[in-house]
Amino acid sequence: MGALVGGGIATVLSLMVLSRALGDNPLYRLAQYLLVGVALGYAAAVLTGQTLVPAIMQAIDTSPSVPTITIIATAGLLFVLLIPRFGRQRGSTWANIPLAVLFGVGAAVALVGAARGTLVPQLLDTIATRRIDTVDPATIAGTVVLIVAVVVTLLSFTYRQRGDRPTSGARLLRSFGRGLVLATFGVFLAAAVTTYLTALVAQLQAMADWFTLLGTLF
Amino acid sequence: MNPPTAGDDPSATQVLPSWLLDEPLSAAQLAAQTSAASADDQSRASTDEELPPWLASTDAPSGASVTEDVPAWLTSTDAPSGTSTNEELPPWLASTDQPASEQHTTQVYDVPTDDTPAWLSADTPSGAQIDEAPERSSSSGPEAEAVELPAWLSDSSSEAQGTPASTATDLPPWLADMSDQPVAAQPTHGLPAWLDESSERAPAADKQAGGQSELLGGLDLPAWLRDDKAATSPPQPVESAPTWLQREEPEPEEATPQVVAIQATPAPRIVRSPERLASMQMLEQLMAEPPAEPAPQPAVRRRSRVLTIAIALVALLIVGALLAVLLTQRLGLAFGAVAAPVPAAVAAAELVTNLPANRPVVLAYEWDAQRLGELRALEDTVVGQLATRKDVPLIFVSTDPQGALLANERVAQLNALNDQYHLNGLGYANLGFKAGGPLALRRFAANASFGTLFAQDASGIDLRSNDVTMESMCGSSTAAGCSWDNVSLLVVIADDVDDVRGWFEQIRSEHPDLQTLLLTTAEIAPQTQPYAAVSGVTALSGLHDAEAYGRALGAPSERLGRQVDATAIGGALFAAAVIVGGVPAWFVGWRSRRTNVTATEEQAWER
Repeated sequence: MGALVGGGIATVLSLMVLSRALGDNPLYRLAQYLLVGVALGYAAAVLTGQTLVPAIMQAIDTSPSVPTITIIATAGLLFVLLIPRFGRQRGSTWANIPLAVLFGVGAAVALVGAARGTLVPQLLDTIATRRIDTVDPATIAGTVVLIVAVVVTLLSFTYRQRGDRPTSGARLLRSFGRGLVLATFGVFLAAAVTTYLTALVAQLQAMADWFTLLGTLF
Repeated sequence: MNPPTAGDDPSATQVLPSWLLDEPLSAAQLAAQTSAASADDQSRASTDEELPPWLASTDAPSGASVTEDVPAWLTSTDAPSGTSTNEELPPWLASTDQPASEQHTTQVYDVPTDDTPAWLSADTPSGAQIDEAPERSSSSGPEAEAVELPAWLSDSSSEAQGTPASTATDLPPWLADMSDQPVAAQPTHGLPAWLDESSERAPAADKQAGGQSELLGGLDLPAWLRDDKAATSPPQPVESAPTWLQREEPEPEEATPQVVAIQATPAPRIVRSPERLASMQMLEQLMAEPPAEPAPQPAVRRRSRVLTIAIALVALLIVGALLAVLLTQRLGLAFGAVAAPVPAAVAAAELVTNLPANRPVVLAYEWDAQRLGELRALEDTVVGQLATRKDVPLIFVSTDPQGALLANERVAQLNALNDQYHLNGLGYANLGFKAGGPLALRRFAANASFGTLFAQDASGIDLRSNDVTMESMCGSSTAAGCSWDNVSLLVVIADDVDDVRGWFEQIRSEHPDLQTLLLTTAEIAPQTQPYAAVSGVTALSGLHDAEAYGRALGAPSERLGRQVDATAIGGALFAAAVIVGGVPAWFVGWRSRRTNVTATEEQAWER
């Protein structure tokens, strides 16, 4: 019974969303608002129930340690400083302090992580000797394509002054580089289309299952 | 200073000239002595005994020196002084019955004190009182007494003369007002510079009394070491003194308006370049021209009914084709008897199959329900295989609220197995949502801080005190024994590049040898390719890889197969729609551009 009711609600909401293909309509808007509202409500519930309440209860029920008190007091102070940002913006300058702490710490962590986890590994992998120290023709071809594509793409963004007419070779190089960039965006588009088609297929499959289940009742 | 008396030092009377021994002191001489005595008494009373001989000897012979160097005009002031002063005396003072010899002294004391009342004038030590002093009666004569006054008499004389520094400190307030008469400064006038040493000591005494030089105030410093600035500074008026007695500061000269001749500087010659002149002309032209009419808003082109019907037909065609594929048997689009295996799926299947027992697997749920079509299939196949092993503890954690929801759903499915292994704390641990994103991940990145992950699970319970959980998840009964080194596999299920980047930048960069399985959507697969190319990382993306993973495990899914076929058909139809619809779209665009170019040329010709 649960599958029938739940599947029915999901089917109706899916049809309401798919009606957008025929144009904007109230059914689509209703489904959209419902989806956004439920998602935000659930996120708020999770944040409250799993982040705020446990920390407060821990500080109240048990004898908190000095680090816990320090963390809670600091968080409370930053929260108080953030309050003037709401309302009439009186004294909202104080709200810059918690925001600066938040964005500063976040930027520092992200910067260190990006350097250690993204830039350096990718750079080392790009110049790794394994790309040329192989006898596999496909690997060698892939390395050549990689090098040519990177160089041509970077050269296509060369700066020139207005009025300077590029040579025919330069124009061909720029056209080739722009073609590679468009091909890259085409790959991204195809990947996105695949995802959306998969989602559509999954929803159609779910609706088909529900209709099948519904058909078994009669 | 204790002045030497005549009995102690007989030479004091011997060096005095006869004229000084026979006649009483003149007003100037007595005033000079009393002034010096008052200065010594007030400022240097405690240090007089330490004075050098050359300075201590200046008191005794002062009278002799005065008499020797006194000019003629001063020596003849005895007789007329009394006359002159008597003429200037107020009636109330002139009527006092005093002998002529005593009036000299009294006159000196009382000359400036015109406002002194009668009762105070009677208390003023007069010459008769001085004569009646016991010390004087025991001395050799009145001349010696006049030269060397005793201490008690010096004090009284100084009070009578009203030395400001001394009277202000020694007199009661009601009498201090009376003693502020500037009599003491008068006797020094007319004295030569060498005799005017007392006038030099008075400012020093004032300075010491005012606390200006407490350190050096008690020392015997020569004149060249004294503070000349304080000595030369004008005396501050006493507030209690009448206004007419207070010394007025020389008023600063009023700032007279000075006429400053302003020289007219020649204006710099501005040289404007032709470009600047052209710009100025353009600005002037723009100012002169009327404002341009607002550009006509492009007419909202309503979608034609035919186009709407065409789009609806295409959508119905695609949906119909997909349903047809989903509801029928597989089409066999592998172009062969058996679908080609996917290397990544095969590697992932081998990785999961060969995981060591009793070592936990961390499952990072970083995806939303809107990607359920792809990631649910991948999650089903991978986590389902892990669950069927029943010897691998699973740790669910998420930094995404919806990911925590989906993890709860998976946990519910594990509980529904009832296999006596997947119990909370034994076969799995649902740690729930960890707020902070990359910041939260950074907190757990180190080996030593891995145990803090269990400080709170999805239910808010601290699992670190549960020995069974710690032993199952960490291989140690305490949280301190937990480490990322004990983790056999990290599975990241993500639908956003930022989530993948966070786990790889914060966690895996700390543990490069940690085996990682990356499950993503097909949409972000190209962007996560750099992370998937790293050694020790296996990546699966989309429904296609999920179906391939099942085949690699030897359990292909018919349902997933149909969905893969439907996706392929849908992709083909989408490409066909792009191509078919692209031709008329290109033609319409070309015609529009051509029309715009023609209109622009016509407008140029019209100009």
